[in-house]
Amino acid sequence: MICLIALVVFGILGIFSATHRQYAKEAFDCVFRRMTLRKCQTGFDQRMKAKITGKLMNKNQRIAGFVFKHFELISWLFTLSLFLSIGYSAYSVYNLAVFGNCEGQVYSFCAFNPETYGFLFFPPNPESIKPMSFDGAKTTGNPDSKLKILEVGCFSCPFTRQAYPLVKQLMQEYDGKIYFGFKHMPLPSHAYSMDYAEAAECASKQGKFWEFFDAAFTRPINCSEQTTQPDFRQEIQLIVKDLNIDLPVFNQCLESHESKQFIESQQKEAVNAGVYGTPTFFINGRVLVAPKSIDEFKTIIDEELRK
Amino acid sequence: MNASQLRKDFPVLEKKFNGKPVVYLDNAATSLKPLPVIQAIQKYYSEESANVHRASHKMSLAATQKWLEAHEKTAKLINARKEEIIFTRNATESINLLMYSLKEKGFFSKGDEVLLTKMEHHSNLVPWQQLQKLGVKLNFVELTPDFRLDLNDLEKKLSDKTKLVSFTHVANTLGTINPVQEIVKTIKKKSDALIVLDAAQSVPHMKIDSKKLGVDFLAFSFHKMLGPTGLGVLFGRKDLLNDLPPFLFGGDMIQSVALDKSTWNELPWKFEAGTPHISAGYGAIEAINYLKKVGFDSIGATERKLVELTLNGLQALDKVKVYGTDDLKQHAGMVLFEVKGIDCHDIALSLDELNNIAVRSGFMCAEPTISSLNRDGLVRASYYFYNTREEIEAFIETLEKIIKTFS
Repeated sequence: MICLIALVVFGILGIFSATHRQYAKEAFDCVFRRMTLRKCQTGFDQRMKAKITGKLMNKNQRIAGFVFKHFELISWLFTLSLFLSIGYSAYSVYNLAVFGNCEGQVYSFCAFNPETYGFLFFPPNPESIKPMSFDGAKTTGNPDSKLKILEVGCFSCPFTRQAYPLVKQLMQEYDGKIYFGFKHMPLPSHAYSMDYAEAAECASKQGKFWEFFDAAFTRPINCSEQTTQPDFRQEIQLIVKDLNIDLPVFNQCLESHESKQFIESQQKEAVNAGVYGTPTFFINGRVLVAPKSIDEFKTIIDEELRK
Repeated sequence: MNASQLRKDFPVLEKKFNGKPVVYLDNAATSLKPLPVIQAIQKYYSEESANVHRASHKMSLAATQKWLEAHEKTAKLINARKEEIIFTRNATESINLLMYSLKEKGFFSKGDEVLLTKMEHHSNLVPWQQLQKLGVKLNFVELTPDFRLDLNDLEKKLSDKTKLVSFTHVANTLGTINPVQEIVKTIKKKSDALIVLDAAQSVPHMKIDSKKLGVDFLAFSFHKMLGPTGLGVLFGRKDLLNDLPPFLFGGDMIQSVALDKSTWNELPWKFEAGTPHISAGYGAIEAINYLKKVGFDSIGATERKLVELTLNGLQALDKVKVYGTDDLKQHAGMVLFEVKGIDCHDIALSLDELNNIAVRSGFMCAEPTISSLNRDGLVRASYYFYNTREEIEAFIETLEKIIKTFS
């Protein structure tokens, strides 16, 4: 299996060096023969083994001996790691292409985002998230309701957008029984996430937060289509145009970034609580991360209502 | 002349890999080449570079003269006549030439027997295997427990059906030196079979007298005796060669050519069709000169010392098993061994990787012999006069390190 790794390594090195091209050719021949269930004839695999163990022997005989004895197993482990890392990278690229960010449906390990490398060994766990209060949240509904649902979301995030119809359905089905709140957690990996949050706050200053919320999440557009600031600006104008707000005041609010500090404080609060992805819902303090169906909500809601 | 003086004549020995010199212990595969040989070949291409036996201009005459000289010197080397020396590509082609010519002559018929041994190189086995298609039976002389030819078995297997006996003078694996004269005597007592000797591992290392040995044919290669690759020799008794049809047809091997028939040239040209490896002939002359300068007695003595040193060193190592006769007088300059629990190729590759020590591993073109001892192959270190005690010590030390690490 060393030939497979050698093929990848020397294949890449061979782009820059003629010496390594020959090794790449031999590795390819070896891999092809092994794939067709024949023995590697060039002895490339044995030569690589001798090269590696020879170099190790000059540094540390014990390690060289260990590597020599378990060479096939070590090669298999490296090959497996190679395929796993290729798989993870492909998964991340897929998420990037489909969802506009490489974290996928849930904020988890992403090969292209160093902030998430910790997730490889410590996958995110909803149970580690601490409950967040409604302080500072935009709210709607009866504050004395038995059901208190707080959403921590990002206006640029496709998953927060995907959860919007579920939120609407919940508000309809449990009409009058839910006290709903929203806090900002603009994700840096999502384009214009802070700008959208600021726009929402600027609309909120004119009492139009929930109208902005509805308009933003129902507009048929993918946030990844905004490639420049002018496009974003145009998009915001289209969102707010039917909200019956004072546009010059709104635009002045946007230009001044007066809400930025407030949004960053909510962002920090979410991070400190251990929120690792959007949307994250707190249903009477119980955590639900990126739900995909109404049933996920109802399971928790029904339990809370029975209490 | 001591080895350190002679080593200066070999440019390859100056080479270093990763700052370490080469330790060349694969002389049975091919020997290194001294400067006079290299320079002679270069001289041909830079100063003469003409074809032989063709034109009458001075360059062609000079090349032809050298080509004749190569034949004469080779004949003198093994006490033969120049008509009895045929130049081929190598010993393998020499034996093939003989096999094909004998076959063409109708020498073999169904039911005939050919006697070989169980210590042959493929070049003295595979060609004779082709005769089985004619219904010829192959028999093999067994080996004794100490890896010599069982001469009793040889006598037993000779019969009135034996048309040809072919055996090696020095086994390229076990290093066994066979008593040729004794064997020839035994054969001639019981049979009038043709006797062929594979002398590829003996001519480079000892004085050979084709007349004294009493064989009918012998084959060897120049590249194992300091000469260039691509030039081999078939010695054959003049009367026998005259009786054999040519192997290859075309230019040079003819005397006259008409549209529908041709007549053959005299010996040895009858068997040397086409443009030969002329530059190799220049190199061959210098190779023979150099060997004479070193002296076969000196070569033999040096190699015996090196083998003794190796055997003593290997004896002290764990898990090493040596194959070959204990009698140093019948043991040529090579040592064949295995390390229990470590693949032979891993040993060879690690020796090379650690200290640029070149040895051979695997079946060494003698698969039946080696696989009867170890089906995965063995390791062979083979020496020549330019190898030193220090090189053998480095070899043993490195092998010890490898065994300690990999066991």
